[in-house]
Amino acid sequence: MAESVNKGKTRIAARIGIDPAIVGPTTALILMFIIYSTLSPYFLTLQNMTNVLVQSAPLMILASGQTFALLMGGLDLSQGSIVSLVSVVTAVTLMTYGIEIGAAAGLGAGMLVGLVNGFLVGRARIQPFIVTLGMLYMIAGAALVFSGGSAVFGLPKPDVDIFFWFGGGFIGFVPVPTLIALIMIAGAHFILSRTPIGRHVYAVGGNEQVAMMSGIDVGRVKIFIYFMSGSYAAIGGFMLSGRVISGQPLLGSGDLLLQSIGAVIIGGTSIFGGRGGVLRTILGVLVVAFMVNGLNLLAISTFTQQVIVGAIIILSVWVNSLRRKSS
Amino acid sequence: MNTALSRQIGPKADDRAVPVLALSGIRKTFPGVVALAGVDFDVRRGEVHALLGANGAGKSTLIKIATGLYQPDAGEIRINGEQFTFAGTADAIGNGVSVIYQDFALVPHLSVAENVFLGSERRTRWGCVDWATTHSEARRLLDQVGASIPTTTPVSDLGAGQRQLVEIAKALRGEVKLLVLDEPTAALSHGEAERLFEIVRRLAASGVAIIYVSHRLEEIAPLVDRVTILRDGRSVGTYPVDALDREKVVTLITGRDHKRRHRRSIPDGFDDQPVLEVSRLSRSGNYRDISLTVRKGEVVVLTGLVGAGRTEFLQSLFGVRTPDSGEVWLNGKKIAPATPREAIAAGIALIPEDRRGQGISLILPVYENITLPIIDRFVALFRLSVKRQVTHACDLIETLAIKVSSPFAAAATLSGGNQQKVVLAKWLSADVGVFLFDEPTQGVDVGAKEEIYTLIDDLAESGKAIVVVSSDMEEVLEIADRVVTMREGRIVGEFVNKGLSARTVVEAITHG
Repeated sequence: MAESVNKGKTRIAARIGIDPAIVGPTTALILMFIIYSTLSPYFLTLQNMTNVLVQSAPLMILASGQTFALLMGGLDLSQGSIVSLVSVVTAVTLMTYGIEIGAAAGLGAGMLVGLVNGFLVGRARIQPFIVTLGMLYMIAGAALVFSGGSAVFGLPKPDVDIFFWFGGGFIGFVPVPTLIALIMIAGAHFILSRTPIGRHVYAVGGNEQVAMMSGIDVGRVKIFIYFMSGSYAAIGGFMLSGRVISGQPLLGSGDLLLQSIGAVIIGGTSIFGGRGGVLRTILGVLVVAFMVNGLNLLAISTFTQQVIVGAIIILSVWVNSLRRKSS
Repeated sequence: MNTALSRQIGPKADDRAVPVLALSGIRKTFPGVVALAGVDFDVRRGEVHALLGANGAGKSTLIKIATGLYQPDAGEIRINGEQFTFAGTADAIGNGVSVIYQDFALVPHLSVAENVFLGSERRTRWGCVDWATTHSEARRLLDQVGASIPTTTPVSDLGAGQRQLVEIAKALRGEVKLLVLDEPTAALSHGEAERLFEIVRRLAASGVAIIYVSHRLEEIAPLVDRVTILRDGRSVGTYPVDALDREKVVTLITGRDHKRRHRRSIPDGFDDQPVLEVSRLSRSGNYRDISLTVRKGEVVVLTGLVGAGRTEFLQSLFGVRTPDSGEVWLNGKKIAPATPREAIAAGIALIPEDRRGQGISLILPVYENITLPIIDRFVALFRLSVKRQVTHACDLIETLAIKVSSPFAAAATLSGGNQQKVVLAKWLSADVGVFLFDEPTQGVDVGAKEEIYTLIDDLAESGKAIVVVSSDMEEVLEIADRVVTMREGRIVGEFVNKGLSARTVVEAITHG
């Protein structure tokens, strides 16, 4: 029965010209809005909406980068560690050399990790899972080594204010992190849908052999993919670090990475590659962000929240597979 | 156990009148497509009933209904005269229906014996796998189909022909009343196919009803009793095999009066300037000392048995497998492509044998498949124009008469012939002077086959140099200017295609 309901939905979606893949997460989002706004008077306030958007900005950026890796049929487990590394490198460098050099060093370090991932996957041809799992450990360790195992506090003024501006500032009404996230999302969407290398990502994810036999340099595409994923993680890490105005060697060791992968999947990008896109991912991030926000407002414990987010990941993939079967 | 036993315990249907399987008024629709619009079909004991039709005619759907994979929307299934509803494939198997699919359903890293009993493992009293019985019964089944393969061999070590035999042994493991073969010879050499026919004949003689799905009636005519032809989801008739000839079959399959393609006349001479020159190319384990010259406008066909090293040779020219020694010259310039990218840049295109694995990306839309190699051309102001890509693709779709609902449709929705045209379309707009075709019409239906021949002719006429690998003797003689025969990695003969007979070529392949 679930299947026939789904079929109906797909047909309606097709008629009014929207991608049926986004029907699931959109429905979930709408349901959440209805339930939460009924249960909590605070949920629908401008203050709360802004909060959610600001808080989820780093995740949006990470997940946008992660989308590249999943579209290729791979994944990037090193994103969380990159966040930690960027945080400590930026903070430590900023102490002596100021924000400009600090930012360049921090972001550069993160991008370098992405590039190394890319070369290991694309040229040394090691499985993405293995490469990024190894890198997860190496970079998490490197972040601790670099900071001497403790957080870096007491950043000098005025650099620290600029640093914070990236993570929590405002331009008029618009929160800076949200603005940056929007620009990054637009950039990723443009690259994936409007540039040859972006289309090559889909081609490699859809069928690597075909891509290779069509004259695409598959290795180069993979390097690009992991460079993007790493760079996006670096920017997300920079932002998150600015918000806590310090260098935190464990900043990305929480469930940020899993949320990033989870959001891409909830958004409906296939883990086998070739299908999906960054706009779907944003929908996935919104589902996760509002879900967590609403549960917080209802004073439901973070432990219970984890159970629910996990269930949603499985549910969304299940709904997607039913949809595919019915079409 | 199986065939002999089924004869004893089967209902008294030895008066051949009650069909083993009778389908009537079968209707099946998928979203947007009527796959079957009321088909009647039956098969009797000991009969080989061929099911013919173009790709997309509904053969596969009908088979899937007959074997319980799909439920029909309307219509009746009768087994030995009793009305029946299959609850699924396991139910169909339980009722003596066995299928051998086109793509082998074997697990490569398991042994032959394990594959034969996969899903119905022989068990000991304690519920563990009974290896002794597994191997001894597998041995008996393999002997029955004339395969001398050791039962402990992993399937990945077997060739296509042996895998097919393992498939058949697997299909015979239970009590079989009805055996369905779906394009069983697609991957087989001539000798292997002959052996398969012998087995099919024996099974039919022992009372098994057989449905044989195929594209090529010529090949199976001696084997078959009756023929049913499907077109666009309807049956256009069931005929005794003697009542049909090639022309009539093609007419029934395509639904239009079939005129034989006008073959390009083979030119008397070619430009002396060769386009592609290969000199003593070798790759250990694949091919040795291959020297070959292809001139402008010439179609050279490489033929031989499966495993003669032809595919590997083409792949080397295309940069997929690096040769160990030897030289390749293109338009007087020495080249050594290490990747397909370099080969394409030099002006070589390959239309691969493994279409779904290497030629076409099934989940990408048709237009993107077509523009994939030349996607850089559609960038303006750093931005890729989808509109211009689609316009370009639509031109080619029209030129090649590709049947597709929309350029945005996923390539998976196309029939084999149309997918092959998409692969060809990919290279038509690339600046390529040499076309390499590897088994260009494998899995392609009759109508599309001839269209592909015409396209190859047109390419030759426009001055391209063409190398085709083909095992289909009719095809070889149809398209070749020159035929080169290969055996065990070496060139063993070369013939100008003037008054050339299939016999001469086959002899060169096997004894040359």
